[in-house]
Amino acid sequence: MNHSIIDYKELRALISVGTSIIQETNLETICQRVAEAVVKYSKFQRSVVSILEPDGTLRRVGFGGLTDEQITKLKQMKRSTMEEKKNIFSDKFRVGQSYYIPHDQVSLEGLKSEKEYSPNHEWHPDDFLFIPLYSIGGEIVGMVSIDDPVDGRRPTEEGLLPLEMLANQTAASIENSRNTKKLQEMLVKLREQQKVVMELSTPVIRIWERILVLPLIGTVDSSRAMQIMENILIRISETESAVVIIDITGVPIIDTLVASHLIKTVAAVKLLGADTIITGINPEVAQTLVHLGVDLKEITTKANLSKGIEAALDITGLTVTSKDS
Amino acid sequence: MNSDYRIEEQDKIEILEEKDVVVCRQACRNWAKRMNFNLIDQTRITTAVSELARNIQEYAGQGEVQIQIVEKDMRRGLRIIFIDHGPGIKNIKLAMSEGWTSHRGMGMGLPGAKRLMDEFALESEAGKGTTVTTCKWLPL
Ligand SMILES: Nc1ncnc2c1ncn2[C@@H]1O[C@H](COP(=O)(O)OP(=O)(O)OP(=O)(O)O)[C@@H](O)[C@H]1O
Ligand SMILES: [Mg+2]
Repeated sequence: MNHSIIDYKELRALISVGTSIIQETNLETICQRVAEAVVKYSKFQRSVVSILEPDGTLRRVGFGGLTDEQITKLKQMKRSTMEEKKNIFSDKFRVGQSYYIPHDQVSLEGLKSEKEYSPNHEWHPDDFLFIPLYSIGGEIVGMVSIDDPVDGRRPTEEGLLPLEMLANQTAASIENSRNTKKLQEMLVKLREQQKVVMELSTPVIRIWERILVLPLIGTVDSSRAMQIMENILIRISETESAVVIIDITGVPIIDTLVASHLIKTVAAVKLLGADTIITGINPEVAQTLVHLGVDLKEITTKANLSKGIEAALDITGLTVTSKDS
Repeated sequence: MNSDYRIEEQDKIEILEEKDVVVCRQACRNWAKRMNFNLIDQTRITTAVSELARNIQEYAGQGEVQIQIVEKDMRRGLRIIFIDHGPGIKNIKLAMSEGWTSHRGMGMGLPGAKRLMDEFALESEAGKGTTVTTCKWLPL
């Protein structure tokens, strides 16, 4: 088991930002909030969130820790393309899910190679650090570049974990926002929109190795519940996950139909050898469930998504500790 | 029997397919909100409506839900009546007991809805249909 140290406060803060943007439909807002959150809660003092456009260029959209002049300049700069960045995505530079390129490995024409990468070294102002934003299907939808660590040290795998979780949530939000936009266009034409909305709004996000998150939003009827369950089971076996967190903050009510599907899902997940954690049951819903006579005692529940993620990290063998305790 | 309820306002929603259950419970939540029921009562009402409207859809195929703002003995309440002409319930006592289901439900819908509302009356005749009359009163 690998016992790693994760900054608990940073994790919680970033995850709650990640949770709050999942329903946001404006791409600019998503990127800006993420860039600001990076600067506010992580040890990095500058960040730029870019989105991959259909033409293959990376558009810089969110900025954190930069002056207005710097932002204007960055926006005017020629956009880089994914093609140019290809060399970066090499295992040599990989730290966790991120890519760290020490300054001495970078040149204008391309990237030098064969240099030793040793952690714990000092951060150099010309070093590059990127976290790719992966869609649910595993495609890159953008990237977060971060710079200027407060402690002046090179990044470590554990240190980057909270940011990578935020990155995964960001990617899902970007995808969701794009889907929503597509949908709105379709809505005008389609009368059968409802089914489509349902299907697209049940993303199962792989938030970390062996941890999946499903933010349930809106109404769960039988057909959708079935499809959600199938989705979860498929994703668990695909990703060999150990824990799935179902966050139901966005579900207005839990009646016997939803409850029984939750119970069935938990049982099916258990058959695959994984655990389910349900988060985000609000107080009114909890009270109503008691009145309704539905017993969720057999199910692990946590108050909110970040508590759920802590528990999930615990199950998968990562220890969450608070820096200042 | 209904004469002592004064109806201030009413509307009805037809239940024809599954999505109408959602439309109906959303409508009831809006009525409850408008009447200034607190969040807990709104959730209770919405959940009860979800159960009873879905029973219509599941067992009778279709039916209708009447929503009324009523006044009785100086109290205001939200009265919701679920009417269908489906197969009816043969054994009402059994249907009202916890955990009994003729299909594969949890068997909690009827007894649960009864607990969630202040008034609950189930009339049913096999072969004729079912009517469930419920009411939630605003606190005095
Ligand atoms: N409108 C109806 N018409 C005919 N039968 C009904 C109707 N409503 C309920 N029933 C019968 O009463 C039984 C109990 O209903 P109840 O809602 O309590 O549980 P359920 O629907 O079986 O499961 P769930 O807990 O998911 O609601 C049903 O299984 C059904 O046989
Ligand atoms: Mg029922």
